[in-house]
Amino acid sequence: MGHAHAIAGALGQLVAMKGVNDASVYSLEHGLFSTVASEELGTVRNAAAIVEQIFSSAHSIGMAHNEISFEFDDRLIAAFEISDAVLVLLSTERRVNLPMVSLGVKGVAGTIRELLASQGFE
Amino acid sequence: MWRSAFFGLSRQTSLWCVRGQYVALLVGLVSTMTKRRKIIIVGPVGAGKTTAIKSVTDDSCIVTDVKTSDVSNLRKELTTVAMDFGIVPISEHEVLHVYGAPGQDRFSFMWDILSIGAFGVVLLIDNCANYPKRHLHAFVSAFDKQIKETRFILGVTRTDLKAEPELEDYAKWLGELGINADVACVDPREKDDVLFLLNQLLSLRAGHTQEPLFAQPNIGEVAVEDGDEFVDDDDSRFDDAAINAAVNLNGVGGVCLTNGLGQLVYSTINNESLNRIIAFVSGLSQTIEEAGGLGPVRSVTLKSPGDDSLTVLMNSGGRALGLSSERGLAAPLQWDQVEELRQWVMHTQ
Repeated sequence: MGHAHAIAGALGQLVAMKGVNDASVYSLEHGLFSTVASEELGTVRNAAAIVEQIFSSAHSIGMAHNEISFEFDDRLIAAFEISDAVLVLLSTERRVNLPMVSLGVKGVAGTIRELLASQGFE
Repeated sequence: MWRSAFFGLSRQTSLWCVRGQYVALLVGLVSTMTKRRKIIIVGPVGAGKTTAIKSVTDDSCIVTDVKTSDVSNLRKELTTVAMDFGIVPISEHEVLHVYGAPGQDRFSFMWDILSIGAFGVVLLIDNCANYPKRHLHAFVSAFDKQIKETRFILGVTRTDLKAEPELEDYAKWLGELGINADVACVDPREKDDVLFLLNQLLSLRAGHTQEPLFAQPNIGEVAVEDGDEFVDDDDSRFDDAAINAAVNLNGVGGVCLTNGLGQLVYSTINNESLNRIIAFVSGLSQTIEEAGGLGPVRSVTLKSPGDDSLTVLMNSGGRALGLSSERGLAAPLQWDQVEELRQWVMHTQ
Protein backbone atom coordinates (compact mmCIF):
# COMPACT_ATOMS: atom_id res chain seq x y z
CA MET A 1 0.00 0.00 0.00
CA GLY A 2 2.88 2.30 0.81
CA HIS A 3 4.37 1.62 -2.60
CA ALA A 4 1.09 2.42 -4.28
CA HIS A 5 1.09 5.74 -2.45
CA ALA A 6 4.63 6.29 -3.54
CA ILE A 7 3.71 5.65 -7.15
CA ALA A 8 0.73 7.95 -6.76
CA GLY A 9 3.20 10.54 -5.55
CA ALA A 10 5.31 10.07 -8.67
CA LEU A 11 2.22 10.39 -10.81
CA GLY A 12 1.36 13.54 -8.89
CA GLN A 13 4.71 15.01 -9.86
CA LEU A 14 3.91 14.36 -13.47
CA VAL A 15 0.46 15.89 -13.28
CA ALA A 16 1.99 18.93 -11.63
CA MET A 17 3.71 19.81 -14.88
CA LYS A 18 1.99 22.50 -16.87
CA GLY A 19 -0.36 21.07 -19.46
CA VAL A 20 -0.42 17.54 -18.03
CA ASN A 21 -3.92 16.49 -16.99
CA ASP A 22 -3.55 12.83 -16.10
CA ALA A 23 -0.72 10.36 -15.65
CA SER A 24 -0.58 6.58 -15.61
CA VAL A 25 2.00 3.87 -15.18
CA TYR A 26 1.34 0.63 -16.97
CA SER A 27 3.16 -2.64 -16.78
CA LEU A 28 1.90 -6.00 -17.95
CA GLU A 29 3.45 -7.51 -14.88
CA HIS A 30 2.43 -4.94 -12.32
CA GLY A 31 -0.80 -3.59 -13.70
CA LEU A 32 -2.04 -0.05 -14.07
CA PHE A 33 -1.64 2.92 -11.74
CA SER A 34 -3.40 6.03 -12.84
CA THR A 35 -4.85 9.36 -11.89
CA VAL A 36 -7.72 9.02 -14.36
CA ALA A 37 -11.25 8.30 -13.27
CA SER A 38 -12.03 4.62 -12.89
CA GLU A 39 -14.45 4.59 -15.83
CA GLU A 40 -11.61 5.65 -18.12
CA LEU A 41 -9.13 3.02 -17.04
CA GLY A 42 -10.18 0.70 -19.85
CA THR A 43 -9.25 3.35 -22.38
CA VAL A 44 -5.85 3.78 -20.76
CA ARG A 45 -5.26 0.03 -20.88
CA ASN A 46 -6.17 -0.07 -24.56
CA ALA A 47 -3.87 2.82 -25.31
CA ALA A 48 -1.07 1.16 -23.38
CA ALA A 49 -1.51 -2.08 -25.31
CA ILE A 50 -1.25 -0.24 -28.62
CA VAL A 51 1.81 1.67 -27.49
CA GLU A 52 3.43 -1.58 -26.36
CA GLN A 53 2.70 -3.06 -29.74
CA ILE A 54 4.28 -0.12 -31.55
CA PHE A 55 7.39 -0.07 -29.39
CA SER A 56 7.78 -3.86 -29.65
CA SER A 57 7.51 -3.67 -33.42
CA ALA A 58 10.06 -0.86 -33.57
CA HIS A 59 12.49 -2.71 -31.31
CA SER A 60 12.09 -5.91 -33.32
CA ILE A 61 13.55 -4.19 -36.37
CA GLY A 62 16.36 -2.51 -34.50
CA MET A 63 14.81 0.88 -33.83
CA ALA A 64 15.14 2.41 -30.38
CA HIS A 65 12.08 4.66 -30.38
CA ASN A 66 10.73 4.89 -26.84
CA GLU A 67 8.58 8.01 -26.84
CA ILE A 68 5.34 8.41 -28.70
CA SER A 69 2.58 10.98 -28.77
CA PHE A 70 -0.85 10.80 -30.36
CA GLU A 71 -2.42 14.10 -31.24
CA PHE A 72 -6.20 14.33 -31.10
CA ASP A 73 -8.44 17.32 -31.66
CA ASP A 74 -8.37 18.49 -28.07
CA ARG A 75 -5.56 16.65 -26.39
CA LEU A 76 -2.36 14.73 -26.66
CA ILE A 77 -1.68 11.25 -25.36
CA ALA A 78 2.04 10.81 -24.76
CA ALA A 79 3.70 7.56 -23.76
CA PHE A 80 7.22 6.88 -22.57
CA GLU A 81 8.87 3.51 -22.23
CA ILE A 82 10.92 3.85 -19.06
CA SER A 83 12.07 0.24 -18.96
CA ASP A 84 11.17 -3.06 -20.55
CA ALA A 85 7.39 -3.24 -20.73
CA VAL A 86 6.90 -0.36 -18.31
CA LEU A 87 5.13 2.66 -19.73
CA VAL A 88 4.30 6.09 -18.45
CA LEU A 89 1.22 7.48 -20.19
CA LEU A 90 0.14 11.09 -19.99
CA SER A 91 -2.95 12.89 -21.14
CA THR A 92 -2.01 16.49 -21.85
CA GLU A 93 -3.12 19.68 -23.49
CA ARG A 94 -2.59 19.53 -27.22
CA ARG A 95 0.12 22.19 -27.22
CA VAL A 96 2.10 20.97 -24.23
CA ASN A 97 5.83 21.48 -23.94
CA LEU A 98 6.80 17.91 -24.76
CA PRO A 99 10.56 18.23 -24.15
CA MET A 100 9.80 19.54 -20.69
CA VAL A 101 7.33 16.73 -20.08
CA SER A 102 9.82 14.19 -21.38
CA LEU A 103 12.41 15.49 -18.97
CA GLY A 104 9.89 15.32 -16.15
CA VAL A 105 9.15 11.69 -16.96
CA LYS A 106 12.85 10.89 -16.95
CA GLY A 107 13.05 12.54 -13.56
CA VAL A 108 10.54 10.20 -11.97
CA ALA A 109 11.34 7.14 -14.07
CA GLY A 110 13.99 5.94 -11.69
CA THR A 111 11.63 6.19 -8.73
CA ILE A 112 8.89 4.31 -10.57
CA ARG A 113 11.27 1.56 -11.67
CA GLU A 114 12.52 1.13 -8.12
CA LEU A 115 9.03 1.04 -6.73
CA LEU A 116 7.85 -1.53 -9.25
CA ALA A 117 10.88 -3.67 -8.63
CA SER A 118 10.50 -3.47 -4.87
CA GLN A 119 8.99 -6.22 -2.84
CA GLY A 120 5.46 -4.85 -2.70
CA PHE A 121 4.98 -5.27 -6.43
CA GLU A 122 6.95 -8.43 -7.10
CA MET B 1 -4.56 59.89 -120.62
CA TRP B 2 -6.70 59.63 -117.63
CA ARG B 3 -7.52 56.07 -118.64
CA SER B 4 -3.87 55.36 -119.31
CA ALA B 5 -2.87 56.75 -115.98
CA PHE B 6 -5.47 54.63 -114.29
CA PHE B 7 -4.24 51.47 -115.96
CA GLY B 8 -0.73 52.53 -115.30
CA LEU B 9 -1.47 52.90 -111.66
CA SER B 10 -3.41 49.71 -111.69
CA ARG B 11 -0.61 47.86 -113.35
CA GLN B 12 1.97 49.21 -110.99
CA THR B 13 -0.14 48.23 -108.03
CA SER B 14 -0.60 44.75 -109.47
CA LEU B 15 3.06 44.50 -109.92
CA TRP B 16 3.67 45.36 -106.31
CA CYS B 17 1.11 42.81 -105.35
CA VAL B 18 2.81 40.21 -107.49
CA ARG B 19 6.10 41.12 -105.98
CA GLY B 20 4.57 40.90 -102.56
CA GLN B 21 3.16 37.48 -103.30
CA TYR B 22 6.46 36.41 -104.72
CA VAL B 23 8.28 37.40 -101.55
CA ALA B 24 5.68 35.67 -99.48
CA LEU B 25 6.01 32.60 -101.65
CA LEU B 26 9.75 32.57 -101.19
CA VAL B 27 9.37 32.70 -97.43
CA GLY B 28 6.90 29.88 -97.66
CA LEU B 29 9.30 27.83 -99.75
CA VAL B 30 12.12 28.35 -97.27
CA SER B 31 9.80 27.46 -94.48
CA THR B 32 8.67 24.33 -96.27
CA MET B 33 12.15 23.30 -97.12
CA THR B 34 13.27 23.49 -93.49
CA LYS B 35 11.36 20.93 -91.52
CA ARG B 36 10.70 21.92 -87.99
CA ARG B 37 9.77 19.21 -85.56
CA LYS B 38 8.76 19.67 -82.01
CA ILE B 39 10.17 17.30 -79.46
CA ILE B 40 9.49 17.43 -75.75
CA ILE B 41 11.86 16.12 -73.14
CA VAL B 42 10.08 15.08 -69.98
CA GLY B 43 11.01 13.39 -66.74
CA PRO B 44 11.26 13.86 -63.03
CA VAL B 45 13.16 16.63 -61.32
CA GLY B 46 16.90 16.25 -61.68
CA ALA B 47 16.80 13.69 -64.48
CA GLY B 48 18.87 15.95 -66.72
CA LYS B 49 16.34 17.58 -69.03
CA THR B 50 17.75 21.10 -68.88
CA THR B 51 21.30 19.79 -69.08
CA ALA B 52 20.40 17.78 -72.17
CA ILE B 53 18.92 20.80 -73.93
CA LYS B 54 21.88 22.95 -72.95
CA SER B 55 24.40 20.43 -74.21
CA VAL B 56 22.64 19.65 -77.47
CA THR B 57 22.28 23.35 -78.27
CA ASP B 58 25.75 24.29 -77.07
CA ASP B 59 24.12 26.44 -74.42
CA SER B 60 22.18 28.40 -77.04
CA CYS B 61 18.86 27.80 -75.43
CA ILE B 62 16.27 29.43 -73.29
CA VAL B 63 15.84 28.15 -69.77
CA THR B 64 13.41 29.23 -67.10
CA ASP B 65 15.30 28.15 -64.02
CA VAL B 66 14.61 29.58 -60.61
CA LYS B 67 15.98 28.77 -57.20
CA THR B 68 14.60 25.48 -56.04
CA SER B 69 12.08 25.69 -53.23
CA ASP B 70 10.82 22.15 -52.83
CA VAL B 71 11.89 18.54 -52.55
CA SER B 72 14.38 18.98 -55.32
CA ASN B 73 16.45 21.42 -53.26
CA LEU B 74 18.15 18.36 -51.85
CA ARG B 75 19.60 17.63 -55.25
CA LYS B 76 19.81 20.82 -57.29
CA GLU B 77 19.88 24.54 -56.75
CA LEU B 78 17.86 25.57 -59.77
CA THR B 79 14.80 24.07 -61.35
CA THR B 80 12.75 24.68 -64.47
CA VAL B 81 9.43 26.38 -63.83
CA ALA B 82 7.99 26.89 -67.30
CA MET B 83 10.04 25.22 -69.99
CA ASP B 84 13.43 25.02 -71.61
CA PHE B 85 13.73 25.56 -75.31
CA GLY B 86 16.43 25.06 -77.85
CA ILE B 87 16.75 24.64 -81.61
CA VAL B 88 18.80 21.73 -82.84
CA PRO B 89 19.77 21.64 -86.51
CA ILE B 90 19.68 18.05 -87.65
CA SER B 91 20.44 18.63 -91.30
CA GLU B 92 20.44 21.43 -93.83
CA HIS B 93 16.69 21.22 -94.12
CA GLU B 94 15.63 19.97 -90.75
CA VAL B 95 15.65 21.50 -87.31
CA LEU B 96 14.26 20.24 -84.06
CA HIS B 97 12.52 22.50 -81.64
CA VAL B 98 13.29 20.84 -78.35
CA TYR B 99 11.23 21.72 -75.31
CA GLY B 100 12.08 20.65 -71.79
CA ALA B 101 9.11 20.29 -69.49
CA PRO B 102 9.35 21.09 -65.78
CA GLY B 103 9.57 17.95 -63.70
CA GLN B 104 7.37 18.85 -60.75
CA ASP B 105 3.81 17.72 -60.80
CA ARG B 106 2.58 21.17 -59.84
CA PHE B 107 3.72 22.40 -63.24
CA SER B 108 1.82 19.66 -65.01
CA PHE B 109 -0.35 22.25 -66.75
CA MET B 110 2.76 23.00 -68.80
CA TRP B 111 2.94 19.37 -69.88
CA ASP B 112 -0.35 19.64 -71.73
CA ILE B 113 0.64 22.92 -73.34
CA LEU B 114 4.03 21.67 -74.45
CA SER B 115 2.58 18.45 -75.78
CA ILE B 116 0.50 20.17 -78.43
CA GLY B 117 1.84 19.28 -81.85
CA ALA B 118 4.72 17.25 -80.53
CA PHE B 119 6.52 14.98 -82.97
CA GLY B 120 7.75 12.76 -80.18
CA VAL B 121 8.56 12.41 -76.51
CA VAL B 122 11.90 11.76 -74.85
CA LEU B 123 11.58 10.58 -71.27
CA LEU B 124 14.64 10.87 -69.05
CA ILE B 125 14.77 8.83 -65.85
CA ASP B 126 17.49 9.24 -63.23
CA ASN B 127 18.88 5.81 -62.41
CA CYS B 128 20.08 7.09 -59.03
CA ALA B 129 16.56 7.99 -57.91
CA ASN B 130 15.25 5.89 -55.05
CA TYR B 131 12.37 4.49 -57.02
CA PRO B 132 12.93 4.97 -60.76
CA LYS B 133 10.17 2.50 -61.56
CA ARG B 134 7.63 4.78 -59.95
CA HIS B 135 8.98 7.72 -61.93
CA LEU B 136 8.67 5.69 -65.10
CA HIS B 137 5.09 4.74 -64.33
CA ALA B 138 4.16 8.29 -63.39
CA PHE B 139 5.52 9.92 -66.53
CA VAL B 140 4.39 7.22 -68.93
CA SER B 141 0.95 7.65 -67.42
CA ALA B 142 1.07 11.45 -67.63
CA PHE B 143 2.17 11.43 -71.28
CA ASP B 144 0.25 8.32 -72.25
CA LYS B 145 -1.56 9.95 -75.18
CA GLN B 146 1.56 11.47 -76.72
CA ILE B 147 3.56 8.30 -76.19
CA LYS B 148 0.97 6.14 -77.87
CA GLU B 149 0.13 8.46 -80.73
CA THR B 150 3.52 9.91 -81.61
CA ARG B 151 7.02 8.63 -80.95
CA PHE B 152 8.74 7.77 -77.73
CA ILE B 153 12.19 6.89 -76.46
CA LEU B 154 13.44 6.38 -72.92
CA GLY B 155 16.83 7.70 -71.84
CA VAL B 156 18.26 6.52 -68.54
CA THR B 157 20.70 8.93 -66.93
CA ARG B 158 23.39 8.53 -64.26
CA THR B 159 23.98 4.90 -65.05
CA ASP B 160 27.64 5.66 -64.45
CA LEU B 161 26.83 6.31 -60.80
CA LYS B 162 24.41 3.46 -60.30
CA ALA B 163 24.28 0.41 -62.53
CA GLU B 164 20.94 -0.91 -61.38
CA PRO B 165 18.22 -1.05 -62.46
CA GLU B 166 19.57 -2.15 -65.82
CA LEU B 167 18.21 -1.13 -69.19
CA GLU B 168 16.54 -4.52 -69.49
CA ASP B 169 14.58 -3.73 -66.35
CA TYR B 170 13.27 -0.52 -67.87
CA ALA B 171 12.36 -2.35 -71.07
CA LYS B 172 10.48 -4.91 -69.03
CA TRP B 173 8.66 -2.22 -67.04
CA LEU B 174 7.69 -0.48 -70.26
CA GLY B 175 6.47 -3.82 -71.53
CA GLU B 176 4.31 -4.18 -68.46
CA LEU B 177 2.78 -0.85 -69.38
CA GLY B 178 2.17 -2.01 -72.94
CA ILE B 179 4.81 0.30 -74.40
CA ASN B 180 7.20 -0.89 -77.09
CA ALA B 181 10.09 1.55 -77.08
CA ASP B 182 13.84 1.81 -77.18
CA VAL B 183 15.74 2.36 -73.98
CA ALA B 184 19.19 3.90 -73.98
CA CYS B 185 21.79 5.05 -71.49
CA VAL B 186 22.41 8.72 -71.90
CA ASP B 187 24.71 11.26 -70.35
CA PRO B 188 22.81 14.54 -70.76
CA ARG B 189 26.06 16.46 -70.47
CA GLU B 190 27.28 14.87 -73.69
CA LYS B 191 25.95 16.45 -76.85
CA ASP B 192 26.50 13.28 -78.88
CA ASP B 193 24.47 11.24 -76.41
CA VAL B 194 21.53 13.60 -76.63
CA LEU B 195 21.80 13.84 -80.42
CA PHE B 196 21.76 10.05 -80.58
CA LEU B 197 18.51 9.97 -78.65
CA LEU B 198 16.93 12.62 -80.84
CA ASN B 199 18.02 10.88 -84.03
CA GLN B 200 16.66 7.60 -82.77
CA LEU B 201 13.37 9.30 -82.10
CA LEU B 202 13.30 10.76 -85.60
CA SER B 203 13.73 7.31 -87.10
CA LEU B 204 10.56 6.00 -85.48
CA ARG B 205 7.09 5.75 -86.91
CA ALA B 206 4.20 7.43 -85.18
CA GLY B 207 2.38 4.99 -82.98
CA HIS B 208 5.28 2.55 -82.86
CA THR B 209 4.83 2.00 -79.14
CA GLN B 210 1.62 0.15 -79.87
CA GLU B 211 3.05 -2.20 -82.43
CA PRO B 212 3.10 -5.89 -81.49
CA LEU B 213 5.63 -6.78 -78.88
CA PHE B 214 7.67 -9.90 -79.36
CA ALA B 215 8.41 -11.02 -75.87
CA GLN B 216 7.06 -8.81 -73.19
CA PRO B 217 5.62 -10.55 -70.13
CA ASN B 218 2.56 -9.28 -68.32
CA ILE B 219 1.51 -6.89 -71.03
CA GLY B 220 -1.24 -4.64 -69.87
CA GLU B 221 -0.56 -5.19 -66.21
CA VAL B 222 1.22 -2.87 -63.87
CA ALA B 223 2.26 -5.61 -61.51
CA VAL B 224 4.11 -5.12 -58.29
CA GLU B 225 7.06 -7.44 -58.23
CA ASP B 226 7.55 -9.94 -55.47
CA GLY B 227 9.35 -8.34 -52.58
CA ASP B 228 8.42 -4.87 -53.72
CA GLU B 229 6.62 -3.36 -50.79
CA PHE B 230 5.57 -0.31 -52.71
CA VAL B 231 2.13 -0.52 -54.17
CA ASP B 232 0.66 1.48 -56.99
CA ASP B 233 -1.65 4.23 -56.03
CA ASP B 234 -3.93 6.28 -58.20
CA ASP B 235 -3.65 9.50 -56.31
CA SER B 236 -0.10 10.28 -57.29
CA ARG B 237 -0.80 13.95 -57.83
CA PHE B 238 -1.73 14.31 -54.18
CA ASP B 239 1.36 12.32 -53.28
CA ASP B 240 3.69 14.62 -55.11
CA ALA B 241 2.09 17.76 -53.76
CA ALA B 242 2.27 16.54 -50.19
CA ILE B 243 5.81 15.32 -50.53
CA ASN B 244 6.97 18.52 -52.15
CA ALA B 245 5.49 20.53 -49.31
CA ALA B 246 6.73 18.24 -46.55
CA VAL B 247 10.31 18.10 -47.61
CA ASN B 248 10.53 21.87 -47.26
CA LEU B 249 10.19 21.65 -43.52
CA ASN B 250 13.37 22.46 -41.66
CA GLY B 251 15.24 19.39 -40.53
CA VAL B 252 13.13 16.93 -42.46
CA GLY B 253 15.37 14.33 -44.05
CA GLY B 254 12.80 12.19 -45.77
CA VAL B 255 9.11 11.79 -46.38
CA CYS B 256 6.83 8.95 -47.25
CA LEU B 257 3.18 8.30 -47.96
CA THR B 258 0.99 5.40 -46.98
CA ASN B 259 -2.43 4.44 -48.21
CA GLY B 260 -5.51 3.61 -46.17
CA LEU B 261 -4.26 0.07 -45.61
CA GLY B 262 -1.03 1.23 -44.07
CA GLN B 263 0.92 0.29 -47.17
CA LEU B 264 3.82 2.40 -48.25
CA VAL B 265 3.10 4.00 -51.60
CA TYR B 266 6.08 6.31 -51.84
CA SER B 267 9.13 7.16 -49.81
CA THR B 268 12.29 9.19 -49.95
CA ILE B 269 13.39 7.76 -46.60
CA ASN B 270 16.33 5.48 -47.21
CA ASN B 271 16.13 3.71 -43.85
CA GLU B 272 13.82 0.79 -44.46
CA SER B 273 13.11 0.30 -40.76
CA LEU B 274 11.82 3.87 -40.45
CA ASN B 275 9.58 3.29 -43.45
CA ARG B 276 8.20 0.16 -41.85
CA ILE B 277 7.46 1.86 -38.55
CA ILE B 278 5.64 4.70 -40.26
CA ALA B 279 3.59 2.25 -42.29
CA PHE B 280 2.84 0.24 -39.19
CA VAL B 281 1.70 3.28 -37.20
CA SER B 282 -0.44 4.57 -40.03
CA GLY B 283 -2.03 1.14 -40.36
CA LEU B 284 -2.90 1.22 -36.68
CA SER B 285 -4.60 4.60 -36.84
CA GLN B 286 -8.07 3.11 -37.02
CA THR B 287 -7.36 0.87 -34.04
CA ILE B 288 -6.00 3.81 -32.09
CA GLU B 289 -9.14 5.79 -32.75
CA GLU B 290 -11.38 2.95 -31.69
CA ALA B 291 -9.34 2.12 -28.62
CA GLY B 292 -8.91 5.69 -27.47
CA GLY B 293 -12.43 6.88 -27.99
CA LEU B 294 -10.99 10.36 -28.37
CA GLY B 295 -11.88 10.94 -31.98
CA PRO B 296 -9.65 10.86 -35.02
CA VAL B 297 -5.90 10.82 -34.60
CA ARG B 298 -4.37 13.89 -36.17
CA SER B 299 -0.77 12.87 -35.91
CA VAL B 300 1.58 10.46 -34.21
CA THR B 301 5.15 11.36 -33.28
CA LEU B 302 7.83 8.86 -32.32
CA LYS B 303 11.10 9.84 -30.72
CA SER B 304 14.23 7.87 -30.07
CA PRO B 305 17.45 8.52 -28.17
CA GLY B 306 19.46 7.45 -31.20
CA ASP B 307 17.37 7.41 -34.34
CA ASP B 308 15.56 10.03 -36.35
CA SER B 309 12.22 11.27 -35.07
CA LEU B 310 9.16 10.21 -36.98
CA THR B 311 5.96 12.13 -37.44
CA VAL B 312 2.94 10.56 -39.10
CA LEU B 313 0.24 12.96 -40.24
CA MET B 314 -3.10 11.30 -40.74
CA ASN B 315 -5.79 12.49 -43.09
CA SER B 316 -9.43 11.61 -43.14
CA GLY B 317 -9.05 9.34 -46.14
CA GLY B 318 -6.88 6.96 -44.16
CA ARG B 319 -3.81 8.05 -45.99
CA ALA B 320 -0.82 9.26 -44.01
CA LEU B 321 2.23 11.37 -44.63
CA GLY B 322 5.34 10.32 -42.74
CA LEU B 323 8.27 12.57 -41.96
CA SER B 324 11.70 11.55 -40.78
CA SER B 325 13.44 14.42 -39.04
CA GLU B 326 16.58 15.20 -37.11
CA ARG B 327 16.48 14.02 -33.54
CA GLY B 328 17.63 17.36 -32.17
CA LEU B 329 15.11 19.45 -34.05
CA ALA B 330 13.48 21.92 -31.69
CA ALA B 331 10.04 20.58 -30.92
CA PRO B 332 8.13 23.89 -31.01
CA LEU B 333 9.59 24.77 -34.36
CA GLN B 334 8.76 21.38 -35.76
CA TRP B 335 5.34 21.48 -34.21
CA ASP B 336 4.43 24.73 -35.92
CA GLN B 337 5.72 23.46 -39.21
CA VAL B 338 3.94 20.17 -38.88
CA GLU B 339 0.71 21.86 -37.89
CA GLU B 340 0.88 24.08 -40.93
CA LEU B 341 1.61 21.11 -43.14
CA ARG B 342 -1.09 19.00 -41.51
CA GLN B 343 -3.67 21.65 -42.27
CA TRP B 344 -2.37 21.96 -45.77
CA VAL B 345 -2.53 18.20 -46.30
CA MET B 346 -6.03 18.03 -44.87
CA HIS B 347 -7.22 20.61 -47.35
CA THR B 348 -5.44 19.19 -50.35
CA GLN B 349 -7.13 15.83 -50.65
